[in-house]
Amino acid sequence: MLTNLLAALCVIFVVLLIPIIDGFERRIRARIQSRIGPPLKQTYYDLVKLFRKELLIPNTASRLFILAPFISISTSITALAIIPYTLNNSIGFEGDLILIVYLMIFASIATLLGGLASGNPFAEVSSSRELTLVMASELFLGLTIATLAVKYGSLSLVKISTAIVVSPSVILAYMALAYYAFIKSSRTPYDIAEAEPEIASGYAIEFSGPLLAITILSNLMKRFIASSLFTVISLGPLIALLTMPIANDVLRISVNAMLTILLSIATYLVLGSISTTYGRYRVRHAVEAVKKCSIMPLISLMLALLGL
Amino acid sequence: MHQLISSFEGLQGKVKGINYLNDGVVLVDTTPNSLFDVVNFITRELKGIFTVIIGVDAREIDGSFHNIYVFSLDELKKYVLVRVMLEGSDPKVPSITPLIKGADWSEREIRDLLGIKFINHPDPRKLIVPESWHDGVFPLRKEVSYKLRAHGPYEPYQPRRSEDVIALPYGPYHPLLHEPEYFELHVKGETVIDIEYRGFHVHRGIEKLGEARLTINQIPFVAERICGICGYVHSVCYCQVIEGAAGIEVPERALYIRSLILEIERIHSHLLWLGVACHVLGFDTGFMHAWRIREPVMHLAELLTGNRKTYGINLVGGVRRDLKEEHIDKVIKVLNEVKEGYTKFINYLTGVREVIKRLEGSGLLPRTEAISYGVVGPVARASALKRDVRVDHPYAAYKDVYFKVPVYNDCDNMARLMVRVEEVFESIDIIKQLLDKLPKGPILAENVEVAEYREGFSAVEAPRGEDVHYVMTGKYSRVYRWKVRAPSYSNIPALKVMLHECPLSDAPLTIASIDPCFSCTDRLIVVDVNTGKRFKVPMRALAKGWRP
Repeated sequence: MLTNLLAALCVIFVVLLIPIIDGFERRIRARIQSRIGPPLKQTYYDLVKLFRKELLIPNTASRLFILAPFISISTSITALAIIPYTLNNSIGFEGDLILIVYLMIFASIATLLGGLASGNPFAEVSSSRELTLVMASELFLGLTIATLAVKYGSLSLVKISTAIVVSPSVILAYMALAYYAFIKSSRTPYDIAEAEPEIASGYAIEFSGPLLAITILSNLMKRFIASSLFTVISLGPLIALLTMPIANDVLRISVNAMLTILLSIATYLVLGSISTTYGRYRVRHAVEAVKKCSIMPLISLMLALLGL
Repeated sequence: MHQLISSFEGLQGKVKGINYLNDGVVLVDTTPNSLFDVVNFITRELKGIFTVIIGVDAREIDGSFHNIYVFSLDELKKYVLVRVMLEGSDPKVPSITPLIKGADWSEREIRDLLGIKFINHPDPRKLIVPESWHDGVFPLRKEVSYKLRAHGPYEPYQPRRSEDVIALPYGPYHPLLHEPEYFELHVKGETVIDIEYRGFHVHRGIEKLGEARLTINQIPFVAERICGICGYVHSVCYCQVIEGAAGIEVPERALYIRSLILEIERIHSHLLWLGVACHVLGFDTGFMHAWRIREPVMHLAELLTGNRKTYGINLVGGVRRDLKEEHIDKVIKVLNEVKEGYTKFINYLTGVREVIKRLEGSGLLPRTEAISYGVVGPVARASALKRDVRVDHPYAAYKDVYFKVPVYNDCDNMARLMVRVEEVFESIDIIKQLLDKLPKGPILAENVEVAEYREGFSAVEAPRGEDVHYVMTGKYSRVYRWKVRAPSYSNIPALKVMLHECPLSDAPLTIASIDPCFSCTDRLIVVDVNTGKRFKVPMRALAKGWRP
């Protein structure tokens, strides 16, 4: 019971923390670009301001336009809840790894639909770009997860993130996950769906006020989920090993949660600073790059099937 | 000099007279009927590149309209002005747009503003004045007051749509270029298949203002406000025209100071452009660093002229503000620092693969098209056209300095970037040479008197290309006709070629690659061709002048 409560607290904590993490990223990016940057709480200020603003709905929009951001944020929160930050089997079940893939796709599809529903031509272009990228990147994730499933003999996130298996295929799969987190963060060079100078923020162009705030928040959450997925799966086993000696269940779980969240934040920020050294891909190049990198999980899957 | 005049002998009977306006400018008089032959001769035999057409309402002087066709003979280092006199009551002249694509805008502009008819012009739409403009009122005619305003309701522009083609509006407030311009890109999937341009939303009527309200010595300050980035070129160019027309001897020191400030302006303009290009490519880190490097250059301008921008130091006959000896060391020190930071930045930028990948091979403008549209500046030099006013038609102190003109044969966005990158190095070098040779003496000519109805013509190499001014002086120390042709006016029409069949993600970059300056160009509409084939027209906004 207490452990479940802790897991739930974790989710709330992370949701509240995400804007601050974004604040850190903005500061780091500013320093790399020789600027001072906004205050750490800037993203909070932005969100609060947007929630207070008037909601404008274009004449061309359908009902899905209002619904889409909500679908997107609820799927994101669900995905966040499934990630075992506590490294403890509380809400997880056998097969939740598959569910998380579905949820990630669904969150992307929701933003895409929201864009299409706005009836804006920029959003249309953006949605088609997002779709091409989703198709390429989710195949990438699918292959990686297949590798893990083969090696660990399980589709449960908790089992994968606590059991220690060292083999070439698993290490390759970890690298693939890191790259997936990079693609999924929709930062440069993979921000083709937003591409402010090209298509004026694309799918988000018609969103305003509270809807825009929700869209922004769910985008940030998607970024964080992708980084967490990598951190929990690849570094989870190490953390579990470290905290094994702690006898008290509640204490151990809390320490686990703290460490995984901290490391996820670190991953998030590292990926964020890497992206500042990139320009934006052309759509074709982005898809090609993802396809080329799909070699990585493909090899790891073959290795896993060969028993390596 | 005489060689050029004798080369016109083959056109006997078609050319009525040849005069020199000054050393570099030849004025050829002809008739509307012989215009085609003369234009053909200049473009084919003399390799002249079209610059602009100047329309003059000279009815007060000789009862006729003048059309002056300007061609630049880069190899012979001359400008040729072909003048035709048109009947005052019903001005008509054959259109040369079928021969030279670049003449399209010029002819439509004159049709809108002076009411001269161009026979066989392919595009009947309005360019400058709004659709709801008064019928039969031509703003640049002398009887029209400069206070006249447009009337009638504004018709919102409706983008065209068909099943598989999306019309993407870029503007009038597009985040890419923070200026009022409107591009409509017709895309199939991710490929641009056609483009419409509407500009001139904020036409300020600055020429009319100059003719109607200002005196000769006030205009340099207004001219400098034509552009928000490279305004000084307009001011210098205007002053040169008047000095040429009135035969004013400008002191050497003033010429050096002008060249120096022009080069500082070029450096900051190119750095600004580099930043914008990085931003368009999604490489915001490069954007920020380019502008960081630019900042000391702005301080330098402030140190030398008192202003970061819009220096206001030009007068007819020289400059108003002298260069202090104690500033010279400081200038050289800052330039060395800028050069160091800039070299590092460029090495870094050319190492970012995504950026280079997107620049290479996109936005192609072949050399032949470049000539036909008469493109200028870095756009021309990136398309293997070696043209630079500083070398071809030397002015100010450029005859005394040595520098390289970078020319690339690749014709793509990468070439346009590299031309500008190298020009910054050259500019830093030029400034050092100028400071080294800076002569002593006065900075302003003492005797500035301008006679009536004298013509002058001059050009300056702006960061964006050749900037051209023409003036006919009037009575009471005013100008009778002042014509400005900013470089973007020549470059924007060529976008139609560059954007054809280009991926959508490269379109903003290609538009930005010509470094368009809409506030300089500020007039309306282009691009048609192919439309009949692919779309169900008509658009509402074009309905009035649409042809089947």
